[in-house]
Amino acid sequence: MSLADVCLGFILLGITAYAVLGSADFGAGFWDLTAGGARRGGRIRGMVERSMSPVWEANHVWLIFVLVILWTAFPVAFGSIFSTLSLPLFLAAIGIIFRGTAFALRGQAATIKEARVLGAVFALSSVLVPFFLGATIGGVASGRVPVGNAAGDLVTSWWNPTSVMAGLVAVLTGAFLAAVYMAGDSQRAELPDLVRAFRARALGAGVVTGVAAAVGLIVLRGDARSLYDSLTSGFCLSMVIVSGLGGLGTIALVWSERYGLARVTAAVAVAAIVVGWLVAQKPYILPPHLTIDQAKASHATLAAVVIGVAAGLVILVPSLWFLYRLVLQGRLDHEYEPLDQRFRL
Amino acid sequence: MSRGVAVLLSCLVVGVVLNLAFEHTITRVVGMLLLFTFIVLGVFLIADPEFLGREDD
Amino acid sequence: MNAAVFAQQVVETLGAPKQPDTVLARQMQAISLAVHIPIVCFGIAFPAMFLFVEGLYLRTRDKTYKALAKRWSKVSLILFAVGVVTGTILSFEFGLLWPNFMATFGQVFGIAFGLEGISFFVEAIFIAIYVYGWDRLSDRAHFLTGVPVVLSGFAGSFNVIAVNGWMNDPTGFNVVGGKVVDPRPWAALVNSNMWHELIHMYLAGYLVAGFIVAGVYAYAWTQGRRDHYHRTGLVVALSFAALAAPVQIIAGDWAGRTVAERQPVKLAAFEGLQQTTKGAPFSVGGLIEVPHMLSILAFHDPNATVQGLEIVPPRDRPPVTVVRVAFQTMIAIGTGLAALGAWFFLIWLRLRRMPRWPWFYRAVMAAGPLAYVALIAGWVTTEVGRQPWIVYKVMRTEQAVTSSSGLAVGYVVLLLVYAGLGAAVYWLLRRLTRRPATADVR
Repeated sequence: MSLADVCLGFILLGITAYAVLGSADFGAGFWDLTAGGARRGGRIRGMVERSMSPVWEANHVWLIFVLVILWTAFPVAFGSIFSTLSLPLFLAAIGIIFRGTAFALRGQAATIKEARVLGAVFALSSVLVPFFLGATIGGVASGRVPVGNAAGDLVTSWWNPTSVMAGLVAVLTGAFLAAVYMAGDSQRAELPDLVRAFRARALGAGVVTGVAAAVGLIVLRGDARSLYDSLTSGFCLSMVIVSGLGGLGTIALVWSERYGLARVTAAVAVAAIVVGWLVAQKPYILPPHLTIDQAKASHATLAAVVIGVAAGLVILVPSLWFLYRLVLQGRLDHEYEPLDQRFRL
Repeated sequence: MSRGVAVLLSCLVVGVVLNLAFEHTITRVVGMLLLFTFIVLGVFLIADPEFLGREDD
Repeated sequence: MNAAVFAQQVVETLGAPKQPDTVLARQMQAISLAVHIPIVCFGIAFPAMFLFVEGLYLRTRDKTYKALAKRWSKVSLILFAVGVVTGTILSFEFGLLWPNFMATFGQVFGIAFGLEGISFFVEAIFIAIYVYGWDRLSDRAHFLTGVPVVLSGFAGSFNVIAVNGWMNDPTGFNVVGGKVVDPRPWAALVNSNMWHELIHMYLAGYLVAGFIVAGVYAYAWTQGRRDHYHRTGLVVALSFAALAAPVQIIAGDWAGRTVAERQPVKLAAFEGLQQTTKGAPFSVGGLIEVPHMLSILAFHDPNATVQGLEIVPPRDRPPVTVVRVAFQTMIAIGTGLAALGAWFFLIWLRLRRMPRWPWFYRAVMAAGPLAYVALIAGWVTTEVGRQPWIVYKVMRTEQAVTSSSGLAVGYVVLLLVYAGLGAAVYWLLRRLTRRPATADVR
């Protein structure tokens, strides 16, 4: 395994972590959007806020981690991607601003109307960001990013069948993951009506996501045949199968109300498909224009990346463990409060 | 002048002199450390509970 | 300076930009930085401030200190969240606006952002634990979780400034045939140019955050709110800022001398000095000429020769007017802040009380926004002063810019988004501070 492979492994780790943790955040926004009227939706929205608050800042750092490794270890690929796919990436960035701000502000809303406006901004951007990021990945995977400064098309590089499906699957996966997590959180908080509500949502989202993923594969066959062929053979096929089984397993576990375990299988499902995709692309980083070997930085840089990340993990893993332990032990929760209650006089 | 204040002002004066009169790495490092000590020590001396707890001034 | 190594400028890795709109891209970058950097100042300084106040609580068990520390930490968390968001935008902008810069040099300086990401991740984790752990962790444990927040504030600025220092005095690579070869990332990261920038920026953090916070309590003071809580808020914030201000002047002197040595054209632009002059004067405010002053500032020698803009052709010179005005603004405000700090310090030293003159408190209220202006002016001075280079004497900014179309639309959208963000943060903070802090503490 070369240093370049290790760095790719970091990118894989980052994308997976962001897809699992960050998309659960985005998915929470999806449920916020569809929670219903103020009174009914208030309880759902309250749980959304409660389950996200202590850890959401930490989640988005994975995105930055991916960007940094990419621009350090594969700088030509980074520059090509960001110049060709400037539109979805710019929109994703704007969405991230809106989302973060709206969420932080929502806790301070004093009237229902304010909360709904902020909530709408938060929820809408929570849906758009994963779509654009998914579309970006779709653009890269389907070979629409050539090497060079904005050498690809401004629109069709991300508005094409593969990209759109990838974006959709990203949104749905987030919704699915979020529902699973919040069902578990509701259980921990002993709020049975919310457990039921999120369980129903998780089941529904799981089915829709599975269907969308299958459709996505079919679309891929027509749009990016070589990627489809790689994805449906050998190791990659096994990853696709693992992902499918993980999804089905998650649905089954949610059905039988075993939410803790469901989180694990959900994470496995996401991780497997990310791994499958990256391996299917090999040896390319920008199929079919740029191989990993061509794109990689010098040995000194790759070594520096590995050392830097290793040092970082030494500090971060215990810190993150500490944080998650405190969160899961319930030692950092703030008081649960349905989002409409605070408006009562 | 209390001892704390004496140390405080010494840090400031020596720190400034080392930074302005010389151009070596060692004088820069020591000088800056002294100036940072001035800031930290000064905050502790000024913002002490007695001064903060006063009713009127 | 490695002038001999870079006898040849680098050729952009992704090919020359098709329709470079360098000025627009620079402005977009500048606006994003102008929004992000003040938040960074709070990330640098505020944790030290609220940790100090928590220390007061632990020493005296006086609940007022706990209320203040709690309030400050909550504000800090909100600002940090905004900082995450604006920082993410910056990361995206590096790629969106400067893909050639990233493609050509990413492997040289990129590692610094990896380390910065780590420190910022640590800060995120521990500030969350700190704010959500009030009353839930033991007193000692809680205090200790604040320490990584302070340290990572420093580490983050270390890594980012390392890159900026590198851009102004590039090292850690060679240029052969217009291509970057033999990158040495660690040498690039810990470069000799970064230290004055780091100290100067770190102190700026305390000036901006300290004076802005002090200004809030100074206003309360003028409105008669001088209870224990408000007095503490005022004195703690003011102490940090007032003592940092004179030290900042010394750091600035160091910075000036380093620039004189390594970027003589930038220094010439500070003053608009056309001809190379022995015993060069410095014109304060562009009006009053102080003889020999520029030579003294640059070399601590009244008869030193200061190089003028003439040493390079016009296409290699920065926009002089912008740099001059920014530089003058920064040192004028910086001097004023040091004077304000000295005023506060001397009154305390000689009379052991707070100043009585209402104009002192009005000055403190003005000092916050002015410190911000000085901060931006300083960054404009150094960044615009480095033009036309993005990597000094190696890559021009116009080589680095994206060929993607639609920059103008992006610019407008970004402006609107930031305006909205600013309004929202202001609204939030007003909301938050309307509730009395003592309500948060049982």
